[in-house]
Amino acid sequence: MPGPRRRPIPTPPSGGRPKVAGLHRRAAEEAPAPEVLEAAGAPEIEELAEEQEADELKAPEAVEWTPPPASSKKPTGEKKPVGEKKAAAEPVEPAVPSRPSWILPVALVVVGVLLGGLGGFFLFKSRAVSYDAALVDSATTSAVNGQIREAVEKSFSYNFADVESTEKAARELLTGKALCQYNAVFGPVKEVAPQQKLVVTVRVVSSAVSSLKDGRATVLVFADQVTTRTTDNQSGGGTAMLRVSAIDDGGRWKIDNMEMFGATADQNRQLQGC
Amino acid sequence: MRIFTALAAVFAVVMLVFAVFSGFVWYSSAHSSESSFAAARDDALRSGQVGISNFLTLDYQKVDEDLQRWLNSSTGELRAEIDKDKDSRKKQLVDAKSVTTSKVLDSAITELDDRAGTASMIAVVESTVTPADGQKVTKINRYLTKLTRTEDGWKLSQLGPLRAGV
Repeated sequence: MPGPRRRPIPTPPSGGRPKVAGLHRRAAEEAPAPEVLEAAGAPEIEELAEEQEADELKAPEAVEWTPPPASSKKPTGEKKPVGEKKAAAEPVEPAVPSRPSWILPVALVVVGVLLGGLGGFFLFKSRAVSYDAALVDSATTSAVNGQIREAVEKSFSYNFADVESTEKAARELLTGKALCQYNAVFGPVKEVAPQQKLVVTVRVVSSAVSSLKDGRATVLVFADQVTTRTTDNQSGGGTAMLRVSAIDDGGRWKIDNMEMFGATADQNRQLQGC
Repeated sequence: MRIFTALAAVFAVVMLVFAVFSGFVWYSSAHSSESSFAAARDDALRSGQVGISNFLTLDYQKVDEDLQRWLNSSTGELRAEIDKDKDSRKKQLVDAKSVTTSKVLDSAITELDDRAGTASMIAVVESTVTPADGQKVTKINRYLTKLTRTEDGWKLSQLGPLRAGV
């Protein structure tokens, strides 16, 4: 809107005012001017421009002088084509008046917020960097490994003459679901044990901590089992592969779940029942 | 307005410092010696699993392929052994006329020396053997393997079953 209206101004007036003419044409022709005008002083200037049609120099100057104090220097500097400065250094500033002063602080705040968000993201990522501590934390890994070995050997080894110590070990070293699983697996053995005078020895052949995180551990245990019937000195053996879950109970790692690989369907059913 | 600009500038700078700091924290935690050790462990574990199932999978109709795969997943002692008895082994496999497939049910690294590039691993493996003319049999076995890091990643340098009474 402002453009077309103003164009007439420069042409009609007598040749006496190159400056003003230049000013108006520029304002009209150059892209930045309309934008800026919209942003700030647009209405004023439009109205005035109309009045000016007949009017002369003074009015435009006066009018267009008002905005500059408010305008920030940057926008004018950026938008101004090189040629302008010489031709109309003073009027130009007003013509591209207000890239309003709040732009800079707002931009800084936006940048700050973006950076803050980025920082927050980094911080979140650094928290999320977590690795399984198995073997990495060698002290805890070997503590877990040792205690689980011991727990498996003690609670699954069994001597008909000393039932008490096995049960005590199981109660101390197993917890939660594992206690139930233990009873399911070992219950039948206990029934026949006294008559057959059974001695069961479990030895862990190899074991390794496969996961250690947040007070929980998973241990893969390979065990050998030797069962001796002392009534007739018959003995049999077997191998077992267990995946044992353990929780940290105040420095003592207790077994809270067991999975047996290669278990019979019967055993699996018993374990599932827990 | 100037005061707002100044405040905004201070805010932006503070946030810049914060972003740089937390970026550094992230970088350093992601590149700590602990996490690189953990990565080496996981790497060895994965290679071990793949290596074991490679070794315990064979088809009498594709013996050459199998042997080549064994050579590719092994190094050192184990590789030398296979390479040496290649022909007799081949004959044995062809004569057996069976197809074996295996998968690792669970495994764990027992030891890892990141610097030396050696590791030991135990694994529970389910193998299914299907004779050319017969019923297939599924068994679960336990294995101990040693791994050595090579230019092409971790490879098996020893592999054997852990029998009862070892």
